[in-house]
Amino acid sequence: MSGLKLLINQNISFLIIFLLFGIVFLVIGNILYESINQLSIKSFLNDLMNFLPSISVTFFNNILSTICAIFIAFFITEYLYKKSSFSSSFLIVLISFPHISYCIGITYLFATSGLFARLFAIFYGNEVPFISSRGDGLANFIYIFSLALREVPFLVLIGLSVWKKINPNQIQQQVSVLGHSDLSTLMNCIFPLWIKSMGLPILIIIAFGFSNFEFSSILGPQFPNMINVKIIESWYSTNTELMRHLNSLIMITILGVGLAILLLFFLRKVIVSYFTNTRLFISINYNTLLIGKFFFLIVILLFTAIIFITFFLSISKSWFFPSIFPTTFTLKGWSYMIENYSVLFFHSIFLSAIISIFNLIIMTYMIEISQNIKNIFKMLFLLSLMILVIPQNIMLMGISNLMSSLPFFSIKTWFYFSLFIYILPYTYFMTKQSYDDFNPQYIENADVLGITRLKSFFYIKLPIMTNDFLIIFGVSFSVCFYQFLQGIIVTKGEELLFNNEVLILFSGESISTASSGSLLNFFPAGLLLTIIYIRYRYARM
Amino acid sequence: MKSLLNTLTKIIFLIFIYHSLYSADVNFHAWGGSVIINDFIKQASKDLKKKNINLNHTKITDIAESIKILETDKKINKLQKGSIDLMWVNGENFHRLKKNQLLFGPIDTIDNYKFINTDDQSLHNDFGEPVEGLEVPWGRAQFVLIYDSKLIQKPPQTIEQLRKFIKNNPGRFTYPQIPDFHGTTFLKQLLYEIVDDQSILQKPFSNCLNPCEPLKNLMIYLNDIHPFLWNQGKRFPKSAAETVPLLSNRELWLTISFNPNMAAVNVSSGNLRDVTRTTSFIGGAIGNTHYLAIPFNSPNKKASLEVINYLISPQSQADKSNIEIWGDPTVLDFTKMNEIQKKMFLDKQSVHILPNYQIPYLEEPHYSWTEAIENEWFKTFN
Repeated sequence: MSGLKLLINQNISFLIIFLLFGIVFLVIGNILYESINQLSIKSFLNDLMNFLPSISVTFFNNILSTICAIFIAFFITEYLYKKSSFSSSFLIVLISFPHISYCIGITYLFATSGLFARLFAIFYGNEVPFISSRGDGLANFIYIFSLALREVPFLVLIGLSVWKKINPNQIQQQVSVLGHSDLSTLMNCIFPLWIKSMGLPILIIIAFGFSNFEFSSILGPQFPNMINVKIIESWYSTNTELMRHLNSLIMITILGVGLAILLLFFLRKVIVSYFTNTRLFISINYNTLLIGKFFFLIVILLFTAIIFITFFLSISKSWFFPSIFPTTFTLKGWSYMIENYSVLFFHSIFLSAIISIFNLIIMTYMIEISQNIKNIFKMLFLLSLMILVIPQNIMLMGISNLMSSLPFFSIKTWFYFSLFIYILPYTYFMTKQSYDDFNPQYIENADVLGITRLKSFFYIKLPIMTNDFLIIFGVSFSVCFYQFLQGIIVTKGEELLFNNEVLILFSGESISTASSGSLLNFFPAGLLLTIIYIRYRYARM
Repeated sequence: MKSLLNTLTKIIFLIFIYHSLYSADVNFHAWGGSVIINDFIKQASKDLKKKNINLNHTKITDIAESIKILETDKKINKLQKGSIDLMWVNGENFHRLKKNQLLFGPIDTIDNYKFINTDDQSLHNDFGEPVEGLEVPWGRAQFVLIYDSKLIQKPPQTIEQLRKFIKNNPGRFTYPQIPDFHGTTFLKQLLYEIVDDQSILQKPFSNCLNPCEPLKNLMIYLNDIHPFLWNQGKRFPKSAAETVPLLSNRELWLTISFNPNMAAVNVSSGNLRDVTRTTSFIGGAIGNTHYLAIPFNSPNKKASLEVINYLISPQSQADKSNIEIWGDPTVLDFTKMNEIQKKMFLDKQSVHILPNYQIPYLEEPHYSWTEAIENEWFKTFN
């Protein structure tokens, strides 16, 4: 009887996975079919040639920003591992910083009348800002730099757990006998091992690079626009010429991501092989911690400056150049947000919490009831990979197409589903990490004592893994809370998250209101992750 | 205690029954980026509660999202219970809705339509497309230039003066990136100044081909001024709203708007400096009308008509045109109002605004020009 029960339970896990696979395949198949069906090879090649400058700039910016993010994250990881565990916990709070607020903050910092220009004006004495002459070269640089630094906290967080597994102290002791300096140990021995285990986060950030709208639209170049912007422009447009480009852009983006992933993994092989064999660093003795500290300070300063400027914008009535601080203050922005958006704010918190918890329960349930964890993990890995690699904007367009083919499901159902599947990869990767780290001996001992699986889960696993589960919940919550393309592409404005409203307000005239919204947007996930990390520090099992 | 609870439950139940029988929800899809506009709609929603209508403002990023919903509804044969009851629309979006038969109408049968001048063609042609009762005018707009009077004593008022200003003050002027609505309107305004025979702009673009000289000349003009624009014409603001902080911080000295009261509204809210003033092209400035329309599958058409009737009432239009509320010029005809109604429209004196009827009104070019201008711009600069 128990055998039958087990079989049913295992089948339920596979059933859930097959169901999810089925829907994701339908979504991807639908968008590919629609695009290919409406596209002739001639028009595709024609568009490909026309968009070549856009494709090149998208490709170049995203690859370069990923490479920069990897190196910066590597040095920061080393610094944090050796110096400051508390600072590493601070980084997780930065993961919860909304992309939109970050991009707008960068604009206000670096504009010709921005904060840095105002600080300069104190010394120079100019009453009128200098003439702005930002071209696309500078825009590309700001895009690469900003996107790289934004991805650093995420990479460091994963990089730290990889670092711990590598056991770099032991490596250092061993290779110092061979005459390696600190720098050569780091670059010749540790970096190749570290980067080999960072495939997945790299994949995540490169896919994000190709699908994000906030960075490419607010900070990216305009002549030509990046493909990510063009695709949303075509989606919105009533211009028949722009609408016609949509199918080509979908195909170009999918091919672009695929090519970028292949290129990055090829580059990784080349870099690993180069760093393993080069003797360049042997004779150089340099304090590598200083590089890590420098980048860490830059990341912290940048985020702090963004929070600072957003806060002052949120309480300013008038704040004209060259004044460093607002000349008149108002709390209208805050009161407007609280009065008009409280319901949506709490609704978004509630929805994100429910979806994250549901995701975590499903994932844990599937792993727990299955004897064949490896197979479940493999299939979930494949599913997560599919969700992450196909750019989000295209996947959501697929969902939107499918919605019209399956009208018996409501918009709300599709909205929740589209949020659910975007949390799934994060929940999966973190849950897998936790299960990998868990010592199975505890459960084996419990089995010997005849304790049921359910009991051993609640009395042994859950208490030991509580911190892990909390972090998984925190990260999933913040990922869900900051989704916004669903509100545009899937529900077309009928169902929104608070994040969407903040973006809409930034298109209007009241910066103080939009900035108040921006800070409010940061608050729930920031607070949640801060609490989780404080608990993590003081309640380590 | 028990009887009190019973009575309370009954009262709540009765209220619920009454509410569900006699009140109607109207789902209004309108852009949600502007705090002042959102506040105006919120106030209208409060007023409409008295008529047992719940006006829900769905704050959208772009009305194109709502059109996509309607197109999907039509495709899947959802002809009765759509999710949109009322839309704020005009221009090429209206054209798309009309062409695909996504609107309910005629809706110009409502009471307060009597205040609208039926002879004024600018209200009955939306970007050259006859309205035919499928939408009701809600507000007007006219192209204006907003400038910092401390830095510019004599603002440009013709296309040549604008060229001179741009070249003498490099980096201090720009326009929103195409296909933003304000950016395209600016180019249409330039086109009006460039063409010899303005009537060609009222005809479909197909009348101006092989080659279309005005469009060619427009691109020559733009090529000439682009190196002297903000960021040397290599970067443009995404919207007209984005130019407000640039003007207030004096990165820009001159910008464009489509609301003659925009400067006054923003000075009063602290977004712009007190020295901000408004002007326009003396030869005439493009004006257009924005409208309210009801989708074909709205489940609450009757209530939506009531909402439109309220929104074009003298009281609501007077509030809307008040620069302390929204500052959007009215669509109503003063000659059709009585004295009490006329008095509602406070004649606010403000140094920041351009007095009504000072600049001749130019009609929006035929909608087909929008796409032609955008495509030519993309071809030349993108």
